[in-house]
Amino acid sequence: MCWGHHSLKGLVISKVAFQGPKDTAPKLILDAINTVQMNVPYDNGAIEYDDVLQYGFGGNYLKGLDVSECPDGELRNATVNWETSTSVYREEVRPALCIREDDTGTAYRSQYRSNSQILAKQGTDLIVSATAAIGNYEYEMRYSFHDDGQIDANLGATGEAIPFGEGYQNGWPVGTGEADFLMNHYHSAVWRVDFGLDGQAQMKAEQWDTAPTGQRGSQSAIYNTTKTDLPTEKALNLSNRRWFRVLAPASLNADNHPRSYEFVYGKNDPYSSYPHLKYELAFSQYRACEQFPMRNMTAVAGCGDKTTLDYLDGENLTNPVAWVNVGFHHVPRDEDQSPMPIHWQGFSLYPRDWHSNNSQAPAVRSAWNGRNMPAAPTPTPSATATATATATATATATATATATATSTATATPTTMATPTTTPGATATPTATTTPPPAPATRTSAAAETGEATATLQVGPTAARKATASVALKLANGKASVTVLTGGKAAAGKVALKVNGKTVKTLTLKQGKATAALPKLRAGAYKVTASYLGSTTTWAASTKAKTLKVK
Amino acid sequence: MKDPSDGRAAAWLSRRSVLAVMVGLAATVGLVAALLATGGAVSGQSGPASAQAEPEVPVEEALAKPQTPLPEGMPTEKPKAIGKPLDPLSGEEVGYARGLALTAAGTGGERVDGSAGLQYLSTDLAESDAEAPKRAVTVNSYDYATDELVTQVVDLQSGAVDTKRAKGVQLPPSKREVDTAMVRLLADPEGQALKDDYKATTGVALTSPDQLDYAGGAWVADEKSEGGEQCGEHRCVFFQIRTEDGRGLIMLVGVPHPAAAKRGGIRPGGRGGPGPPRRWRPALRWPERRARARRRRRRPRRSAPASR
Repeated sequence: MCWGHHSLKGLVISKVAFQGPKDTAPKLILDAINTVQMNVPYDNGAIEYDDVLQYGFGGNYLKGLDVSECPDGELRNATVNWETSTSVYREEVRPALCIREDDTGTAYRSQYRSNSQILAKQGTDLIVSATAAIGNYEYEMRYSFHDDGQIDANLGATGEAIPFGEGYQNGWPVGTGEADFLMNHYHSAVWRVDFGLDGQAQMKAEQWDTAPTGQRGSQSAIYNTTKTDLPTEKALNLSNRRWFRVLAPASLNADNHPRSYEFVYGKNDPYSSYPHLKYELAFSQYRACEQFPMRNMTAVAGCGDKTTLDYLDGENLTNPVAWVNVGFHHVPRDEDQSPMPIHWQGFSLYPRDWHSNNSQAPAVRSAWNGRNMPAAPTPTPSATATATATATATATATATATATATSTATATPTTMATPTTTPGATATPTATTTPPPAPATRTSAAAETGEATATLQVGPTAARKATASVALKLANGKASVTVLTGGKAAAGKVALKVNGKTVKTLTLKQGKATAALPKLRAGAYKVTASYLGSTTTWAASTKAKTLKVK
Repeated sequence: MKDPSDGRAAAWLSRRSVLAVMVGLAATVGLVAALLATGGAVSGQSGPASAQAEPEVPVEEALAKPQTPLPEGMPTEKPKAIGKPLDPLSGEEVGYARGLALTAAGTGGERVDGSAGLQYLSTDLAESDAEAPKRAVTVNSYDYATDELVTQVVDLQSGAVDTKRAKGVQLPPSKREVDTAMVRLLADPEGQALKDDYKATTGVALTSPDQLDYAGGAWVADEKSEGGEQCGEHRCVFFQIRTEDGRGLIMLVGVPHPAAAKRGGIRPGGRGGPGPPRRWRPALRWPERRARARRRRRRPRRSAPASR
């Protein structure tokens, strides 16, 4: 995956490839994905913004982020340059991109009888996001890449809403009584999605519909599903039980099914007053100059000032660009006052037949395919989970890193094991977790080893860091600090703070450091120890301990 | 809220509602459409187009200095390292591309301050062919002499420049244009509404753009827009304005060409908020307005809102 920024489009994600846990190499999914419109007309018809086309999500509107906005993540810099009113060149390096990994909850769970096994896994996703602040609105461009290949594209809007509505016909009262209204308005977000499935030159698009036949079977109504090929450029609408996909006919999975990605929409209220925004989806054949769904911002002859609908001129669809339109009509609430809570709109792309079965399946299930369901070897209580945990960590030479996420069922500090990645080879997690003390209650074998793994291909340094546990003891005028990461001694430095001020910085030796406390006047003091982190472990602090000096 | 078209606009403004004015940046036509409209979000917090981004030079003082073909301090030598096709552009690459683009553009053209040359707008990584990716930069400028967008694609390896021009495509304005339009607006009778709103909100008189936090966008009319119909053929700026502490103010549109200033600059447009259209429409006396609107209708242009 590559990221960049464009003066109008803001965050541009390109060359998105996915490598499942058992894949030997990543496969390309998208050539590019980025926002291309954020149209905001107000319901009284008196004002309309287009924050991408009139202002732009990039350039100087692309904001630097504070570390607090990227918890447990990494900030990446963007170089932004502009020209002042006095013709002076300005260049600024800003931490514009946040990359982080998040838990997504249950990936799957299946319980079966022999040995009371639970096959369960917690999922993770890699989130990349950037923020553009334009006027009162601030937009978060956010893309999530799940461990199973799912991709989410979302735009969040926050900032400020200004009261100027007139009544319930176009607003909602937010001040005392019914004097000040916030005006209702639309947010139409459009993404341009340039497909490159498995690097194939020939792709196809399909629409699938399921409808009741009107007949009944022995137990329920009979539904039939039909396919409609989309051989040429077309604008499309959603309907109940309708979905769309882009497939690569020549890229077959192990079951000989063509690999594809499916569009998954949530709630969507298309804006009916712009022709091109009436459609939730349009497919056009790739043209380099067709970059925006309206006012197409180019001087290329015959291509500028066009809309999506102008691009749909009957060309065969072999290299599809999808224009995904998600409309949100915002009827503000009292709660939408300063700073307005973020509201989201977006869509997902699901892999469909990218793999021949569940790419995340544990070893005992990874061979199950159709009716071919080999019996599991009789597991020893600990063997099953170990196989599950270690089978999935892989890394390749193409600037990928493998992140291993750990979930435990106990209250002890969670350990994120960072595996060593060997270019082009299978990597084995080296920082193995020391199993936490077995809880009193019955747990599955998986919980006892404390590991479930997820593999994500991300930038070279995006491997997940471990979390440290820091302990502080105060006795006899001395402070003793112990820092463990994954149950092992951590290396690095510790800051000893009294009432928030660092009084000493200590270097850990075998995970421990001891120092005499400074002489203090009589009174009560709050003492904390802060581990400053390392390349493999996050910074962490103890809670404040109270020190009473007589 | 009461309809301000009945003459209670002042009351309406004093409630800190939002009013939009568009200042057209017309080159050849004197009109400069100003559109007064209510609503919407307001201004750019610390954005580039914000007056606060460069506090060291007051806006009016900055505009007194003519623009130079290339900004002071920008590297224009060929960079030692040229990035891979999809890498973000470095400052050296941007500067080198702008230098080549300027040479290729030659003389001629007019900037927003009336000086000769092209008005610089933005640079971006050029769209690259997936099969044969190239490291190229798109340099966008505007020519006020001909009212054209000038897009130059500069190949960083070969130094070749491909220049294209088009009318009717309006990219977001540069800071110089936004500042020019704001100064023009405050000097124009149309700016009174903003001044009134500022005074009512803060208790202080608005005398300088430096008191405001504003962002300017490119405004383009469509077939059904009332007021500012020339915006699109000409360059117009649509403001989002707020006080420095983030309180929303009215929003306005303007055009920063000197010719426009001589002719009185900004005029109210008719598209206004809950009422202003009726009130302001009599001020719209543009001789060419109907003819232009008819002409535009014949040309298939951007998607027209079906019902607004």
